[in-house]
Amino acid sequence: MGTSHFLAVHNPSCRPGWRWLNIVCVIGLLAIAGVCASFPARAEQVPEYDLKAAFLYNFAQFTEWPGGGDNFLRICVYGRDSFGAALDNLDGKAAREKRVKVVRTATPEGAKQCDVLFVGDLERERLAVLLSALREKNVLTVGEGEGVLQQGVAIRLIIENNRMAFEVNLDSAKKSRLVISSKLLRLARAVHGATSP
Amino acid sequence: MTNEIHGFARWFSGSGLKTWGALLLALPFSLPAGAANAANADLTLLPMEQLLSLEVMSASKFSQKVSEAPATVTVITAEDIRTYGHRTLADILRSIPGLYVTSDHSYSFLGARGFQPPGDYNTRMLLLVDGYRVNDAIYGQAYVGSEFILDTDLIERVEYVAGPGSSLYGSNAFFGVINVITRSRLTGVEVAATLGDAATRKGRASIGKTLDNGGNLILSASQYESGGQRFYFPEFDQPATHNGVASNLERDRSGQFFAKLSQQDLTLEMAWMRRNKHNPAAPYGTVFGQPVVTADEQAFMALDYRHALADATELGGRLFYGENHYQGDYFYDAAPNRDLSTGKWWGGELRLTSAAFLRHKVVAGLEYQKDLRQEQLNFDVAPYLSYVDDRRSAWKTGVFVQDEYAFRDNLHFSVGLRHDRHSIHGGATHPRLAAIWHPQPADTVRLLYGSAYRAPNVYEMFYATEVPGGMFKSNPNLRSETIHTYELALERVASSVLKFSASLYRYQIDDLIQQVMDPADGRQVFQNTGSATGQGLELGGQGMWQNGIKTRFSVAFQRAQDRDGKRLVNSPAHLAKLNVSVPLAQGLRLGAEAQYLGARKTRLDGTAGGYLLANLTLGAEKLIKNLDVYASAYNLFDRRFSDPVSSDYTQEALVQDGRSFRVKAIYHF
Repeated sequence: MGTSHFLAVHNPSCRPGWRWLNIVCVIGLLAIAGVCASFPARAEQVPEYDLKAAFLYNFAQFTEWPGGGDNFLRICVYGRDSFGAALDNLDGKAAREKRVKVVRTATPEGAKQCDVLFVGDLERERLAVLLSALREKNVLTVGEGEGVLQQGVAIRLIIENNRMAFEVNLDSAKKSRLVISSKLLRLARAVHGATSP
Repeated sequence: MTNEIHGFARWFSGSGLKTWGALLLALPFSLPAGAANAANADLTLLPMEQLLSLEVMSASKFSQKVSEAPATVTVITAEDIRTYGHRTLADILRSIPGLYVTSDHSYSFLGARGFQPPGDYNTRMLLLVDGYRVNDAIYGQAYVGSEFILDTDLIERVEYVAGPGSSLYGSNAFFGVINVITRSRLTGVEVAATLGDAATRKGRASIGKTLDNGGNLILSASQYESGGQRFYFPEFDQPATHNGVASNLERDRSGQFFAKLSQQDLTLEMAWMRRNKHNPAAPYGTVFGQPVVTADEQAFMALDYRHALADATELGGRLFYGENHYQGDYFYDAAPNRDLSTGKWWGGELRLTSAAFLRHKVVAGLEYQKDLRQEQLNFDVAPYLSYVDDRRSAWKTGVFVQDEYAFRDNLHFSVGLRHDRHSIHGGATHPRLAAIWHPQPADTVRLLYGSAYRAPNVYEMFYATEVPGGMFKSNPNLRSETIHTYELALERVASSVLKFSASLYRYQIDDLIQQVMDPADGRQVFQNTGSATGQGLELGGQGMWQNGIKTRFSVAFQRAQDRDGKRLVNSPAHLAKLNVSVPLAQGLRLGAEAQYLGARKTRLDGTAGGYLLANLTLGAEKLIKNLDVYASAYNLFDRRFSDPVSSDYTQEALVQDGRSFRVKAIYHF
């Protein structure tokens, strides 16, 4: 079945194209090598919240907010904060021609001032109220846990097979008048939105 | 001595197996050492692609697994389309692994997994625009060339899901599903102008407006015209037929309109296309030098609704209306002949997606479509004589369900089933089963079995000439074609910048519909006579480096044969593709494409040779404020190549375009 059958039976050296065929074979074998070769070095493990902070920073880079506002790009954590010092690392960094300001807020009113707002799993029961308060605001909401996208969060961070991934809800982003770059969408594990079947 | 070396070289390269063997032995010594992933102290310095590949030490308890797609998806983004200068959806599809596109100077034909019988329209691929089924109600055809309903500048991305898709989408999702997703948002005015050789020009004007409620309105109109190159057809090399030369007979003109209003849960979309094409190759025994003119028109309107319900559940619905018109004018010595068809249809669908059940993601839906009008006419214009006059209507419904179950955190199962009922020819039920396993974090193994079908269309069943001595016969007993596919796919994220994939597949097609001559009365009729099998190996990879260089490459080894083991017509044994995108100075980017298509048999047992095409695009984005300029060369080395065609033509293969150039400018106000 499959490979061995047609490799054994088929003589690929059609006279005019054999040169190209060998190029094709080399490319093919390099690809096989990539798939089959074992890579001895094991990746170093990265602390979860250091990685999440880096993701928040990148989400800010790839999102377009409607114009206006001051020179700060506010990356906030809502309520119970599992980041600690990991988030402070972002303070003062350059993003989208502004400087990042790290804010910790525990009220919906405070959240309205944010550009990027992370809501941890621990704050899950307060999520619905928070999202309705943010309805008219241009806040990029980032959450974690099952079902947050359906509730209206724009990006969900997931840990899967020991790696960080994310899913995007384009409708939520649209409602907040945010444009997420297709460069970022392409890297998402899944994109939910009005234009996907 | 040199003769012996020559002899050895010839023998060595003469058999692919030996070359493979030697290369395999040499490979372990030439492999680069695996790149170690060292986590930087400051992760914010790393690009997204690298962040996604880092191994994370989980502080919290392991999160619920996200459902994974059971099939491999290839995504081509708007950035790829601009970088590589893709002119049409056909150009986009040519760069996708496993696909190949051929042409007969009227339409572009899409082949997948080594299967594209010449003259068979694109009925075995489902084409969607934002989820709306574009395959029409008469021919079930997916238009992919300059006759595609959208301007490529309006495309946000194209997702190609290879493999049987009837368990979700019903008929036509035979070899795969192509979903073209339009731009979600446009603000301001955008104007584009294109100039190319062979009198090619294209213009587009698009307007976008953000509404008060956060919604967005897009309106866009495009116009395209091309004079066509000069072709020589040796089969017509006689003084009476211009010595086989056809110049300026390949005029291609099209107009497109698109509108999209999106707000909150609702999106209203409308598209229209009309295209007029001259075909110089004299099909159907028409007079050479008098081009066949085909006019195609397509339009649709779709209302899409998506609403998040409580408990991780989403309700989706769609209402749509579509139309297609075709007119073909054929010039014979006796009298000009006209072929007309009109299709009008409407329908609706309802879909529920839920992740409410622990470890399950369920999708269930219901679809209905009414083909209001399916009309096919053929007549001599003057003096009037009618050959074909068939008018009818039909309906079809489908119900489907799919469940993705996270059996273990690194092992998922997907089970899907759909049942369809067509008013013309009964029912069809098709499943898809898949297992997705991660033996190691960076590896994905997919095992898939699925079956799909293609319902016979009204052209195959009812295009019949009732005049005595008529050539075509109807066949109301035509059954659906079916395909069973098995696939094993592997994917490995090899390092922070490289990803490799491999796929092994085998398929069996039964009840293949072919046009044959009925020995009883000598008339042409479509019957379920054929059967075919295919198998192949596809290898590919992607690279995205920190310096901005991106590459995508793929190689396919495939064989498709009929029930006697004979290789199929127009089935290449090899495909190879390479795309490289290199950023140059500020704002400048070079996109290079190389595509190799192997030799193919023609219907008369001849050979259309293999060929390597190269395309090059130099793009300057925002070099001058608000202006993007692209310069492209297609078939850069002016390679002369032909594509096999059906018995509609005297020729067994038609020569295709040589080198062509294009300059495009887009200005945003």
